[in-house]
Amino acid sequence: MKLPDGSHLTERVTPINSTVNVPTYYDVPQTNLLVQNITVKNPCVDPLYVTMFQDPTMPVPYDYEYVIGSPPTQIVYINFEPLILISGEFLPENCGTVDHALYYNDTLVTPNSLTVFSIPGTTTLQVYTTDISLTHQTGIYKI
Amino acid sequence: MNIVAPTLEEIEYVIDMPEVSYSPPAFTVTTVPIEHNLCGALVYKAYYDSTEIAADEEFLSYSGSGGSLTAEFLDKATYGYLIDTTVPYSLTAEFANWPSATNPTVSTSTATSDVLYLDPCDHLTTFTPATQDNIPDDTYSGTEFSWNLIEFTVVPTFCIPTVTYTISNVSGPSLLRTEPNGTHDYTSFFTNYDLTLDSDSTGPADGELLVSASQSHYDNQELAPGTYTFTLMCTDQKGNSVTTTFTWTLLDPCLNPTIVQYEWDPYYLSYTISDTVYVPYVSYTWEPSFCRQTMTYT
Repeated sequence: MKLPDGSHLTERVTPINSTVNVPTYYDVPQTNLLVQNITVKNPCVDPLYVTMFQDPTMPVPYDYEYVIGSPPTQIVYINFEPLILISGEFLPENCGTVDHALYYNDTLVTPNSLTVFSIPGTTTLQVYTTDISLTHQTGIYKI
Repeated sequence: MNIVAPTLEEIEYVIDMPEVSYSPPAFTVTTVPIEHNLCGALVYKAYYDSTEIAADEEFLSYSGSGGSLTAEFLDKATYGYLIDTTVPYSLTAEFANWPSATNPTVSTSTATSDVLYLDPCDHLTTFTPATQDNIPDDTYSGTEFSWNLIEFTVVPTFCIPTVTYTISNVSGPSLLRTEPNGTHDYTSFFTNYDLTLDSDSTGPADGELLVSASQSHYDNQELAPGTYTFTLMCTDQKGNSVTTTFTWTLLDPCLNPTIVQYEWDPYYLSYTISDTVYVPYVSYTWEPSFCRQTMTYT
């Protein structure tokens, strides 16, 4: 059995019906329906087939320093492409595009965020603040 | 002037049966040149095996005066030796007024015939079938069933040893799967019986029929499910026969079979969109396992 790639991506259970006929001596049919379910799984959520991870040889920028009150500073926060492991004949394109989200101190970064905000359509963030109370504090961003 | 004797019939007497009487036709007198009765009446004498008999005799009695002859009751134990033998008897007539002893030329006449003694076992007074037990139903279990003869009613009872039994016919359902309403002759199949009541020690017991049906009989289409009617025939020594029937029903063991689906490990029944996988056939068992089966996927 081979199911088409793609169409899909939602796990579902498909019954396979089998009809068993045990006729009487005089060939009078006696049918019994047997149902066997096959579960079709989504490879995009199965680590056996698709796994996305960061290439350790290409770390994101870290330990960036910003002087409070200085002009906005841009940081390209993604300088790598996620790698995808592929198992079997399945094409990873069928899983759709890879999306990113940026968090700063566990808060989603948007163009309207304070201190650290994103630039729409780019993988670049900017840092700008005049809040002197942040002096010597460390913020953690993650992707 | 002439005395004309009638033709006497043979008197048939069945040994051990009630007496039998016979009224012989009358003697007649013819006269020439004219018809007259001037010579008077006739007197008669009867003879059994050349011995004149009287009104009350052991074998054949005569009432006299042209009356009836009676074959007397003879029991089989004493007179069985007479079976299938004949003994002559006769009637003579002469004119009462002109006895032949003193009138040597006078007309006399004698009619003769025989008394035939018959075998009572050829003339059973009661010969009726007995209701037989049916053989218990079976579903090709292989169990051997013993059916036992219930003897027919035979009178005289001393004739019981002279009758014989056989299963003359066994009719059952059609062997052809395509002819569910047909019939088949199974007479030659059911032969494991001993209906000769001779106290022999071989094979089935006297009066016993042994039957069994196994799965192979079903598979090989040797015994079809349905009702088998056994015709039991009893024949007397003269060839007369009476019959009765009993039945045996074989139930179709494949009617309403038990189907049990075997559950596969879910691991074998999951498919992640990627490549070709092979889904195992649905597994199941059915009882009785010798029933035919086919499976189609949808």
